[in-house]
Amino acid sequence: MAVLLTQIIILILIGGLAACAAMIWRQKQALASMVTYNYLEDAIESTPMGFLYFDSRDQLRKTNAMARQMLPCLKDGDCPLKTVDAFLDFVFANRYSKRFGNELQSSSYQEHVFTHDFMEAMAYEERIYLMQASHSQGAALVVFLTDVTDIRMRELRFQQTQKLEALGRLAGGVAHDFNNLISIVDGYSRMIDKCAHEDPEKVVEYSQRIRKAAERGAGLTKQMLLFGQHKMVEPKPIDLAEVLSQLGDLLEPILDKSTILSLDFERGVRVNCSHDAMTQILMNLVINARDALPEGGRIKVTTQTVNQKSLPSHFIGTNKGRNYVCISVSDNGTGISGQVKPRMFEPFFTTKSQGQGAGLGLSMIYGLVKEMSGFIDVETEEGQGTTMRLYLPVCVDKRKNDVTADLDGNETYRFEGYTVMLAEDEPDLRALMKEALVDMGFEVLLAENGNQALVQQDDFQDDIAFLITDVVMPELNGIQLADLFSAIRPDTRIIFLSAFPANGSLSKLEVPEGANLLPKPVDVKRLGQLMHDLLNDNGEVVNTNCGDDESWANSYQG
Amino acid sequence: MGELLSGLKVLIVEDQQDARSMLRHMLGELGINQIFEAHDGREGLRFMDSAFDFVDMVICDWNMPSMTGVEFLRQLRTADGSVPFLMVTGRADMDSVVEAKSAGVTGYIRKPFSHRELEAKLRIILARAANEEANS
Repeated sequence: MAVLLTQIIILILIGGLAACAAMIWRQKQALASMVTYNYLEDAIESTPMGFLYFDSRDQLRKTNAMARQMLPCLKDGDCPLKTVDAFLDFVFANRYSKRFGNELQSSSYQEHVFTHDFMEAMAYEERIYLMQASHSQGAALVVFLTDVTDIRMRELRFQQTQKLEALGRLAGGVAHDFNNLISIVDGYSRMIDKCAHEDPEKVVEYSQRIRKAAERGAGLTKQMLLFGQHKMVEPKPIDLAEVLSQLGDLLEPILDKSTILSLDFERGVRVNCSHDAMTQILMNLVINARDALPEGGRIKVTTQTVNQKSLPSHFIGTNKGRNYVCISVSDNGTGISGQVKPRMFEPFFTTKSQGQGAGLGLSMIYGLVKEMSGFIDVETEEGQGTTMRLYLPVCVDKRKNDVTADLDGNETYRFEGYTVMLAEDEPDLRALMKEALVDMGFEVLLAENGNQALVQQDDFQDDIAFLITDVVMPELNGIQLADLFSAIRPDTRIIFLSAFPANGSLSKLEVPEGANLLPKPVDVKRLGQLMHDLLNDNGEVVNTNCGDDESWANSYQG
Repeated sequence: MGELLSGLKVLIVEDQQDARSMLRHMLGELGINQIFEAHDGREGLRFMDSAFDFVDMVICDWNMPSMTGVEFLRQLRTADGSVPFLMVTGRADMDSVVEAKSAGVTGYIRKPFSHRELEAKLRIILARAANEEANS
């Protein structure tokens, strides 16, 4: 009995102990979770990111110190941000809340990063975590807010510094190019001083050259304004010969007498570039050559068209089937040393002394040549000289002007890709002329008076090859129109039509000497021939002066 | 040349003295002698406020410190409307052309320009303004 009692007591004791142990274990568990809870609580409260927690019923449950600091309204009892919708509305100004809602349903966990300028000077990066809570139907939303104001300010300062640096570089490059122009202006103005009394013709010539330099300066600023975009100003097919033929005059004042510049170029080779950019390229190359000739010497500029096969071997393989023109600038000067050669196209790399060059010439050339899909080849030997060769793709000229003869030997003229502006106030004559010009292949712009012609050309972006204008027109007459037209479009060739003899007694208006004048009624073939000749740029003036033939003047009034 | 131009009353809005006198000189060569000057957009707006039906054309520099030419143009267009407006600009990019167009510019001329170019532009914008009036 005693044994049984003892056993029962032992069992009770064991049971009690077990119960105690269970109780202690449970309490320990609770304590442990409390410790964990406190630990998490502390971590969340003191974390340097703003923290917000919305429960599955979209109510704000938890915020931390940083969040309350960032969004002070959270401290208020009646804070409007205490639901998910209100919060998202506030953060994203209504734009994202719908999207968030949808995404929330389709996925259990998502992370979104938005940078948002909350208040004027403050920028927060919001890192938002969306969490689908596993134990409930709804979703919980956890939001982390990071203050990135400092980083943003630093980024801004960095950008500013970079901008200033770029500006400094640009200023250096521009100063270099402008100094070249200024030396042209300076040189010629001195030459004017010298010959002012003896040779007035020379004065006019030199002042024209100065004006050319000013024009190039204007072109340069135009180029500069697009520098940031690394684009060439209005690239279009230009005739290399046109640029090269002006190069001698342009460079004369900046080349020493002991330096001989020879130019040898093909005519009619066209490349896609702008006149100003090509002038800049060639000027820079020649100036480099000059600087390699401290004692004077010889600079040769030549052009030669080459086909794909004759390209230097390391260029073959790209741009198949294209023809290239090779512009070569060579000197017999100091040559480029082995150390310099690998770096010569680097921007700001220069061997010239300070103030002599910004180190942008060749890097600019490299950029422009690349933009034209061309290549640069350098052949140099120290003490022997340097040859720079630029290979540029030749533009296939879509414009054509042909003469064909029919069986009777009558010549017909055919033009393609050219635009003509026709200014004529007489409607029937205008229609008639238009038909004739369209037949020749022209695109025709029509104007019934001078002012309209000006407006039309202002709206028209492409080249206008010819202005054909009646001399006598109301408001702005043909001669005035031609004068203004050539001021805005100096490349347009002008042809006058008149029912009156050129400058005879019947005419009140005087067509400028040397102008192209055709009598009315217009002989279409003669017009075609004149246009053909003008396009082939023979520079010969075909002034069909009809002063000695007055008989037609009475029947046709312009 | 140009009876059309000689009677014009022109307001120049330009902050730089040299540029103003250069323009005045060029306009004089075209027979335009009724010229008014404003040193900035604000002064231009004040002038136009009292004389909007008196001035035939505004020539305005784009780049001015206190109020840009485009801003001046915008305010002018809200206040009055249709006076022909020639913007003088040193810029060449398409963006600024588009910006000026959307503000209601009648025409623009790029610096530097000759007096022949100026005359052509004046005629162009007068013809444009006349067309617009006829169409409206």
